[in-house]
Amino acid sequence: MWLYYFNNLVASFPFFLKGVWTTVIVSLLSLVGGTILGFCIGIGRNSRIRVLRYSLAIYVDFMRGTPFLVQIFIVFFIFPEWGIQLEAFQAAVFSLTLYAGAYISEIVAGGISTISPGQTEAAMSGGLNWFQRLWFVIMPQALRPILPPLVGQYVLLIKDSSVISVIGLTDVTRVGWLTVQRIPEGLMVFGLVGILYFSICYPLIRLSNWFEKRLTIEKWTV
Amino acid sequence: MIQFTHVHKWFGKLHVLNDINLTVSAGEVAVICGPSGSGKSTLIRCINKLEPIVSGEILVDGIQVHDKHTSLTRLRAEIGFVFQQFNLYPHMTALDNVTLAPMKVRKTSRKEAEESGMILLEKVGIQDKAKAYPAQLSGGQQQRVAIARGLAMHPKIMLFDEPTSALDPEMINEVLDVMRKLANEGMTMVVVTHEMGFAREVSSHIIFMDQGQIVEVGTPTDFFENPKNDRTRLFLSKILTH
Repeated sequence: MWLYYFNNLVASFPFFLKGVWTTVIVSLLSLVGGTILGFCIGIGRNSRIRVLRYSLAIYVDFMRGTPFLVQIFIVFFIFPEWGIQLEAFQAAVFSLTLYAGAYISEIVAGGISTISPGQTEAAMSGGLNWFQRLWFVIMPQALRPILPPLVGQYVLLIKDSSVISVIGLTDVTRVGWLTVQRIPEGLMVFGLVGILYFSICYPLIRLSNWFEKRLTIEKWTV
Repeated sequence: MIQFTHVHKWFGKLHVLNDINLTVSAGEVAVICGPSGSGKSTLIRCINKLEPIVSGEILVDGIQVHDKHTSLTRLRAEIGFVFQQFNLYPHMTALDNVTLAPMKVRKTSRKEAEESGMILLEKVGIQDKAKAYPAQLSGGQQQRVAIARGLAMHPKIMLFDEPTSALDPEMINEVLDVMRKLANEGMTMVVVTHEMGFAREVSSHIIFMDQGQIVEVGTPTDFFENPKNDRTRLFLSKILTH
């Protein structure tokens, strides 16, 4: 019987690959958007404009303090009541981008905070404006403490993306749920789901480790 | 060139600058000394607005430093600042450290900036280390690059905040030599330092500060030989006995 189910699973593999594709596309778009958003917010948290600092802090705290599931429900089910109708795919990418942005902003702000204030003072004394200071002096140095945990965060976000299955998107997790109704071997089906997530995430984990090693550029370390 | 008029600053309840009135004319070298916590670093940092003031006025070459309409870019292009901790950009070579501001603020071409930069590095005696990174340089070498960086915009004034305090004793002289050279060329300088030998040799006047106030100002001769104030005498007795 087990062999029958296994053969059935193998035959369903293309369906799983479609699921992988959805997971990858949604994750990719959200991570790119979330990274851009995260950098903007992370930099904005150090602004001199108090209103900006406070509103960003509230946003980040809210996004990090509530479950992603709740956030995606609000976007998909509650926004239409306010006149904003999004398709499942759009809602997923939108929510995941906002969610990712909040977590990434913490990593970015943390990285920036490791740079000694003397660097900013030296750049100010040279007459550089805030953008020039950020671009030429602060960010190149901040990328070192930012990149390894950033890639680690990508892995977490890809795994969190499994939540999009509840609004009907056919990602890997949803394919698993649908398949297990036909092939009632939970371990087999979700074992495959796990392996597929792992194969997406593992290269990123290796990349993160590689960054950590390579970014310790000896000639910069005072 | 630099004028403080009734300047006050508080850090919370601490009256860190108490009625500061001070004039430094073009070409003069003013040395500020005093016990730690006296406000001397704060004072010098107010000149290029690294620190804001609460009341009073600071004029640099006629420009009101603390007016919110003042262009900080233009102001800071006329003032070079050398820090106790050097604060070189670790991810850039010595030459790049020197050329960054001219290229980005004055929009000088890379070629021109590097030519001028090399001349400055030569002036501070470090031209063969132009392509080295700060981490590969000794403290004295780093500070000399920092001085070259401060001179990169051809400022009218150079400010030094305890430039040798973080250096090993053997390297102090190489930095002081560069500063002496600058002084002899007529640069307007304000130096916060404990190096009394340097002060005696090079300064036009010495300013002694304690607890946020200027206690005494005098020419080197007057200051060291005839201090007028008891607190000055006390400070000198502690600092000159080793």
